[in-house]
Amino acid sequence: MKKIKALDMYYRELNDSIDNEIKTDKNIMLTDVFGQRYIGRGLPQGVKIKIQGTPGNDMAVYMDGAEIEVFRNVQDAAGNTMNSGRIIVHGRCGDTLGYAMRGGEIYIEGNVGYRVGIHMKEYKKNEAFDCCRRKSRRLFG
Amino acid sequence: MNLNFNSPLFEVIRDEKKCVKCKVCVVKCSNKVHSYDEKKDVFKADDMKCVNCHRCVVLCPTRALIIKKYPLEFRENKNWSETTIKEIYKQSQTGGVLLSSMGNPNPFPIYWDKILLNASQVTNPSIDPLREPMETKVMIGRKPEKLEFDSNGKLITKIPPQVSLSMPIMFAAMSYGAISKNAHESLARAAKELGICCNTGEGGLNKDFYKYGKNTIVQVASGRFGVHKEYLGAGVAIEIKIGQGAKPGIGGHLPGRKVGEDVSATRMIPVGSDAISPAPHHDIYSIEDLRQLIFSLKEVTHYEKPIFVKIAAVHNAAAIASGVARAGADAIVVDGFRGGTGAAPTRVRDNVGIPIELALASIDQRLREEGIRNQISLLVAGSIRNSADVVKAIALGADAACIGTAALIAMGCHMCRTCTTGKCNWGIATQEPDLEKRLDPDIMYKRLVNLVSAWNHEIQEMLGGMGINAIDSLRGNRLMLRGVGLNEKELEILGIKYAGE
Repeated sequence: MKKIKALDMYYRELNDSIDNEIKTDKNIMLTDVFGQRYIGRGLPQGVKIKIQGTPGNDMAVYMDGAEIEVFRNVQDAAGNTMNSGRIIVHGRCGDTLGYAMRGGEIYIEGNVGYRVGIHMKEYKKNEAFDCCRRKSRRLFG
Repeated sequence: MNLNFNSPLFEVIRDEKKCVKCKVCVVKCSNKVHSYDEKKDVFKADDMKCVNCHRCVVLCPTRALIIKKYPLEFRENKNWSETTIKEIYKQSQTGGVLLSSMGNPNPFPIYWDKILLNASQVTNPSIDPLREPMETKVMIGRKPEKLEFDSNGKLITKIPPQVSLSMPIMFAAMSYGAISKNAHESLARAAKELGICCNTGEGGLNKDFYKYGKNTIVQVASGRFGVHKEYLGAGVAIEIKIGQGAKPGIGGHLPGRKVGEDVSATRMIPVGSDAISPAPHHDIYSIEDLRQLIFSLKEVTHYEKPIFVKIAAVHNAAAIASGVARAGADAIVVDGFRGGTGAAPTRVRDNVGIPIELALASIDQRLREEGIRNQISLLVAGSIRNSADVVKAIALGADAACIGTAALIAMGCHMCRTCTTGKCNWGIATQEPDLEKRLDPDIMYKRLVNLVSAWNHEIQEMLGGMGINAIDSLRGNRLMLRGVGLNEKELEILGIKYAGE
């Protein structure tokens, strides 16, 4: 598993380096993530990313089959317009988790914020679902 | 009790002497107005069902049919008009929100018609576009602050992504679902031949039309229908739809009966389910959030595509446009209150938003004052009816204009304004296979090419008349405009002088 130390990296640089790494190794560990946005954007099936630290907004946006596991909290709009894949968060999540997702799975160990799963849709056999163990705030689904 | 107080809107008149009883009218009317009684050998017409789409009139081989406004009058009343009364009948019968199609039909001022263009006489002579070069090509996208060159004179400034249009016209966003597949194909083929762009609207891009990607702008609206990585990469630009001129502040609604197999596959929703776009993007609650969406789209397309943001022309359009430019958008599309729609609540369509002419002038002015006009291209839509409207829009500060309704009219739309029913007799605003096949893309794409080419010729003529040989020299050149019948305030907002001044 390839490790990328994300400390002091701007999101554009971090996401570009993920694109580069998955050409050789589809398993990546990101450490020291401090709020970088769009991690895992549009990534395809087979890619597995583990994240230590706190990923920023729009994690896994337009994701297309990859799997992301986060060992801390995640900011807003994770899984935004996600097509398929899996998100596992061992912590809390912000607002609009899984907005307009049409496939894939999201598992959250802690609490989630407002408007979770808003405008989720069903398409063919892709069934989108969110699962969280604790409380969500208002406007679930 | 299902008591219907309403009377017909139109009367169908048949000239028995001309009628040859071919029954084309009976077969062709999707609203089932015409019927033929075999026993009595007579034709009947149910006026109540007629929407005045002219299909039967145009197809009647002997021109035996005429549709007239129904002659029944209410007692004259300047306050309670026939429309008002009939709407109350309808709402008190159904309890529903009134729905309408196409743009605002009410008698608000049309500023295009109160603006006149200049022409050269003697000094600064006019240019003959038939014999001299006339540039109508425009580049849509963010322009750099300055250009830097190395010692060999080679450009070193990185130019942000641009969309090249051979003329300052694009087809406006109309979704697959709202209009038929054949209508979409006609638009896409015409855009390709003309070297301009069509716009998918919010309904996704049909698999068959990915080949027109170089002339397509893909739209991302709040419902995110059909939005996935491949789709985002398919066009030359991505447009985020925040608002629409016909219905600012509210979302979209495609009824389930229009969602067949193919629309379902394109929108990526189940067959027969209503496609409802929420009023807001639920991940955009501020300009900063808009920036987040803009950059998520830039990230996933590796900064290769310009990102457009479409807003409705509303009261604070200038301030909003400034925010959109600062959020990182490459172009802003402003849609005026006369813009068309497949379906909008009547009250919203007729009462919300402002005229595009005023919004355009104030946005261009504001962006110039703030010194950020170069950072963003400005596109306008919302009832651009002819080439003179395009020229006036460009002189008021637009980079290009989008045509929706005019394009539909070129394909046969007769403005009966009943798109909501899905029974468009001209095969445009329908998903019924029998109706859709009435629109032949081989013919209709040529009509679109004809229309836009003709406009382009006219634009060149008008430019030449003004002594200008490139569309870029007209942009924001308000000295070429004069107003008639406008008050001081209107002239001030439009930034133009009165005729004779």
